[in-house]
Amino acid sequence: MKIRARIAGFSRSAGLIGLGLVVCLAASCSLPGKLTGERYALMIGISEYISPTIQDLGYPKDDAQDLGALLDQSGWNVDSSTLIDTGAIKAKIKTTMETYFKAIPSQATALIYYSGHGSEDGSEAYIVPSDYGGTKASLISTTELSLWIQDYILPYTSNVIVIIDACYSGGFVPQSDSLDIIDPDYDANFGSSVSSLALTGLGDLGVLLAKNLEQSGKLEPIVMSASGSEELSWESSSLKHGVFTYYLMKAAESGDTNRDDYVSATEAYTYAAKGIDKNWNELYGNSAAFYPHITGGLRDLVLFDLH
Amino acid sequence: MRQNPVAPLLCCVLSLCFAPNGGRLFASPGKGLDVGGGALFSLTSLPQLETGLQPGWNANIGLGFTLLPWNKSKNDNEGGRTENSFSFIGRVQLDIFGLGASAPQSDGNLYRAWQGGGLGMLFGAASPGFRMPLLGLPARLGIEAGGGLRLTKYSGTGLVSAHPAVLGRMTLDMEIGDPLALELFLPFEWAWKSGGQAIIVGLGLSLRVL
Repeated sequence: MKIRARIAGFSRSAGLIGLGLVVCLAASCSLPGKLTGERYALMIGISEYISPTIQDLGYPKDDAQDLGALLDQSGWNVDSSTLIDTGAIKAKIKTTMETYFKAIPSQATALIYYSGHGSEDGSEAYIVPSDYGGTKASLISTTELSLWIQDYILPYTSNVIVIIDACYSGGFVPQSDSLDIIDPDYDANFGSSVSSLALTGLGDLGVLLAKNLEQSGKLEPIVMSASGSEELSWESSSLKHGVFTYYLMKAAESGDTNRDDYVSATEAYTYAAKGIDKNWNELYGNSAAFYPHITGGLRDLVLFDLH
Repeated sequence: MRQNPVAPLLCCVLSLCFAPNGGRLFASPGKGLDVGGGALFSLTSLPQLETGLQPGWNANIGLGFTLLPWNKSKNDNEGGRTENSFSFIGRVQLDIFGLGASAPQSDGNLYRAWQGGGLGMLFGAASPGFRMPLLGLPARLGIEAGGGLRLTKYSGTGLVSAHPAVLGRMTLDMEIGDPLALELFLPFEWAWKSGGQAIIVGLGLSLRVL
């Protein structure tokens, strides 16, 4: 009896110690560490276009500068003055990307933000630099921007965030391992629950498994867009910003859903998307509903450090 | 997602301590329908990143069956109850689960939260029956392994993806009274997701109707 009692006592103690170790391991591994990596953001905001044939916008300059200020408070090194309004011509955007990111430390986090006009031609999406002259060659296409990122940023870091607040900007968002069940023309299906739409993935199980198999685990840029590839993105005189950028900035206050004092790109995206859906889409309905998009993949990056 | 791993464990231990003693000697090795859930965590990794820890939860419904009760004695009862023998067992299970985001690494990288569901099939063996020390409940140990498919969505996005996984499960099955058994289980999952890997382990409790 003594032996049995001792064995039982031992196994109970061992169990408690084991349990304690598991709890400590889980707790220690999930404690957020301090960010030591440097972060660099290049902000582009074009309210004023050179050509009088292009309608100027109200708030892209404010979007770029106010989001830039918020990022600055959050520990980013921010350039929100070089590529503003008529200064953001295509050639300058390209050369600034080249020189700005060449100087960053290896494996720093790089962010490019664009707010301004966007366009599409059925096969590609475009952002519209301030010197747009009416030809496709004077736009910046998905392909061109991808090449610039590949040539001017990825050699120095794989930690890249791209945020585009423009019409049709969903065309800049690759899907990687996933299928995006949010319609690129969201107002066409306005009112569908995103959660219930997830079940539509069952019909594409084979495609999804094949996509998963294709992934090499290489770290791709995290790209988020204000709208789908077939819809407009809006700005609001009452919000005094692009609607997407407004809610993205609000995410710095209220988007930390897991309360770890960091707002990741995905948390900010989710906050902005839900904010738009609840406050904008419900108000304007089918006529002006839009929904942001984001790239797939396991990896996420911190956008706002709230410490 | 915030998880407190202590609470479900405490519930589990208390349930075991106060469970009534069943009159039968051995629990069924594999038969029955069970519903359960538990806490888990994933050690998630991508080739270029450090491993991250993602806390999560799991709920499942499973249908167990006995494939081969070898050493079957003449006195076997009805309903798949075998007397003190090893058994080959199988199981089909439907899971839903959620994993929270990992903590950020020093360079700002972290692993996204995801949630989803999946179907799995497992095969394994159950030990001969024995009485639990302290509690005196008739019990069996089981170990099963198999595979499954998972359909997942990155939390807060519309991004749906799918991946295969190797599944495992260790069980301590205690009959608490005809026709119910309480099952303490340690789930294991090795998933190939998005060019990375997730090794998921946990602890759960389920109730089984024999």
